[in-house]
Amino acid sequence: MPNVAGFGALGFERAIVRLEAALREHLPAPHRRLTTEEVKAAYPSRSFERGWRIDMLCSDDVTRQIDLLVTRAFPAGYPRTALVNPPDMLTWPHVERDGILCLLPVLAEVDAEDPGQVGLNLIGRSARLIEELLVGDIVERDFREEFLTYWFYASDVRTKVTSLIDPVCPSRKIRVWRGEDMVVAGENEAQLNHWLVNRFGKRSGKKTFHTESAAFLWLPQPPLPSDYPQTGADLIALATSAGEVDAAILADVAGAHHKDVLVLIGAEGRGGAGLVAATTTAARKISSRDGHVEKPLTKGFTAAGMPPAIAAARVYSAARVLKSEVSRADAAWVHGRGKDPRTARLLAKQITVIGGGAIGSSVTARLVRAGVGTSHIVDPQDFDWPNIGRHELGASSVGKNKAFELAARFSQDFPHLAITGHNVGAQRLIDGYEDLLANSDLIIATTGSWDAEGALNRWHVVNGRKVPILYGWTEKHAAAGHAVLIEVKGGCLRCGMSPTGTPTFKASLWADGQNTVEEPSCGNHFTPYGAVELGHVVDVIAETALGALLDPPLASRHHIWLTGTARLEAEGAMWTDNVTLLGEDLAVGQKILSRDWPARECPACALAEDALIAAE
Amino acid sequence: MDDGVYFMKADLVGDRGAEMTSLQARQMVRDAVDDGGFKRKPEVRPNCVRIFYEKGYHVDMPVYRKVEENGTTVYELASSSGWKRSDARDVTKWFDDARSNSNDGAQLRRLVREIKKFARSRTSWSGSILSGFGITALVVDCQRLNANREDRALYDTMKAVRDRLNYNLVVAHPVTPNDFITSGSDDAKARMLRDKLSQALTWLAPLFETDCTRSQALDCWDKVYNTTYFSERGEDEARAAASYAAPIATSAALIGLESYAGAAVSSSGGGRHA
Repeated sequence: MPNVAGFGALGFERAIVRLEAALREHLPAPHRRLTTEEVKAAYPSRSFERGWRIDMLCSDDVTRQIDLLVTRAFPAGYPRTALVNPPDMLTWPHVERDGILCLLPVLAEVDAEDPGQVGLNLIGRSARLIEELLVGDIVERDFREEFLTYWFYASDVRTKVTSLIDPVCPSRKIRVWRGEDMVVAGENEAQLNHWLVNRFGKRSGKKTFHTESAAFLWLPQPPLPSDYPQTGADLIALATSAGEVDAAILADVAGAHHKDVLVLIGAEGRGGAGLVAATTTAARKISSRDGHVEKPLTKGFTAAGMPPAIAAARVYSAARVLKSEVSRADAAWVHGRGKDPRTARLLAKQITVIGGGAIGSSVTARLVRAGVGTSHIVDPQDFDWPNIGRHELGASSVGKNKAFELAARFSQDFPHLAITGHNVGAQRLIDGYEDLLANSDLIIATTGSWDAEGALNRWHVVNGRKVPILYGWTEKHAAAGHAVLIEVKGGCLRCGMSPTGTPTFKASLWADGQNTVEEPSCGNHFTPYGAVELGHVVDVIAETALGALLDPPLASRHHIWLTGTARLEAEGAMWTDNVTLLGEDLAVGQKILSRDWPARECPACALAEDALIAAE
Repeated sequence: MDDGVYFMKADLVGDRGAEMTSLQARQMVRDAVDDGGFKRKPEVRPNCVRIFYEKGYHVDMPVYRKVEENGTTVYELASSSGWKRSDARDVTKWFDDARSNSNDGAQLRRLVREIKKFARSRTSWSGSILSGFGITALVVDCQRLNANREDRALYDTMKAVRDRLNYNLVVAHPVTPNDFITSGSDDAKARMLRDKLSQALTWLAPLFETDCTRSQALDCWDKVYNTTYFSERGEDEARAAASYAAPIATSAALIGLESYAGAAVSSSGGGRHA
């Protein structure tokens, strides 16, 4: 036997002995050890190795049997229990086809060091579940509340429908795209097309993604298994149970297209809305032996001359419907599974990230994952091999523009979002893309270039600092990271910088005074650090960005991440007085400090005065 | 004790008429027994040819030559250090004599097997612990018999062997004069046997506590032998003797087990998410 889960063959046998001892000591009546053959015969699709059968006299005076079953991995994982001779599938919730009982949620944990107690506990839970099922109160409730699970058990096809729709009332017409191995449903043509172009790229030439009408049926309560539609007629009956208007929507879709209809069905289960899908089959072509192809749906009519009512009646006829699961890919679900109150606000936000280097790419990645709806990435440089070690892009992007590549990568991975790349420098951006900047909810500058960020700051102050700008950079070896958020009040960027862009507040002091390393080429400098050290810096900048979007401060703020003091000293550096004067205990380091970014009479702020005078 | 393969010295001649070395003789036997049907080919070992069987066991086949010396016949073993005076039959006779001389030959044989079994109870010890022959020699020397208590005899013999190895790690060959089963005065394999015996004796300490239960005692022996054999036997006994409260359990009685064993299952998990 392989050494499974660290316990090995002997651990398995020991656990079995302990489990049997526990059963003998604590069960009030004898139990029976099942033979391997019995276990395999009763549960052929499972990998159970041993089993025990316990007779149980239930409250209805019927004796039922519970099997306790373990795999070779035991005592890792946990034993399963089964009801012997269960009722037909979908008669009782939490009982699978072969009688296996669903007792524990996915996140449950068991004490593998006490297998006997685990076995007893699960027998107790099984007995309780069976009694609750006999009483019956939970049967309808759980079938409704957990309807996604039971629809899955009843499903006819394994391919899931990917849904972009907002699963809320009312029933309505939607759109569907059917690919070779993927079916995607969206609210409308525009949303669906946006998603498909992002996900798969534009189609060549004049080709577009062909979409069709589909229906979304919102039910006042989730269906019971007895309501699950087997035929088209069942489907229209289910819609009618919700309302005449709902049924009319299904009929409309069928009547308009003379094709089979995808119906997404939504309802409120436990923990939120759930979606399932059913597809009619009445329009499937039938090929006869002589090569003749019959189209049963349009039989007797030309395509144009077929009355919609007849088309609908034929679609929702005795022909079978195919039930399938739905994978939600709508923005609210992707970002927080519909439970994060920040999601809707973030989806409405627009950011512009200037500088798609190591920091900019990773900050953008975090904000995109957080669900920022619209992102613009600005960078004139091409991606190169030395960038790979600490950048979101990889080898496939070498030689291509960073902004375009990041936008393409994120668009493909987050097709519901709007992400655009701009192959321009900061100066060109300020001169030609004022609307982009002005319409952003937040601008993030991670160029490390004073030429670019000084210019951006001048644009900012002259335009009244209406849009907050977050500047992010790292010090040598990523020993400290800075996130400076410039708001309407407080200092502008220049207020805390020298004329050549040296911050007045530096955290680390390096013995050699050198902050950079040269490449063997004219003027090419860089600072060596790795993706791991940089991660902390990226995080503090991304967190500041999120705060600026959701809960902006009243005035400019400065957040500094400090590496571990031991690491700093090992590199031959020390903390500056700036940091030590903040009064923090820096014995360990690895902390985030926050301070105001105060205003002072700086040349850039004077430009704002000039602009006001000019405006008068 | 395994059988050996015996040749007349005169028959063991190499390609060019020279006398076969001990290695050549073992290689010749290895080639002869390898009929191509073995999953794992037979191997030449320092003192024998080893044949592996699919079920996991092996048979060692020592190779001897018969030498006439001054009118008497002696036997030499093909060993890693050349042709060495030795005869498996002498060893067999030695052990038979030891059993005859013992007050309980049958128990002596069992004690040898029990301590060998202990030495082979962990795959990780394989090749690092004293050979079965070495253990046999030590058990013969240190046997502590007990007609009424096999467990007591085994414990006492284990302790006696450990004490003997504490005193001296050298184990002499019981038959061949001036030959040793161990190598040097600090043989690593003998040292390992001594240390593992010490560990086992520690595991067996609860046996001597006044409140030691049968179940605890069986667990001790399980630990020594790295098995569940003893506790399974105890469980079978307990099962046979169990008297249940009812012929059939009510659901109410079973439901009570959930709270009785509540700590073993956490429905809400450990609170760690990834």
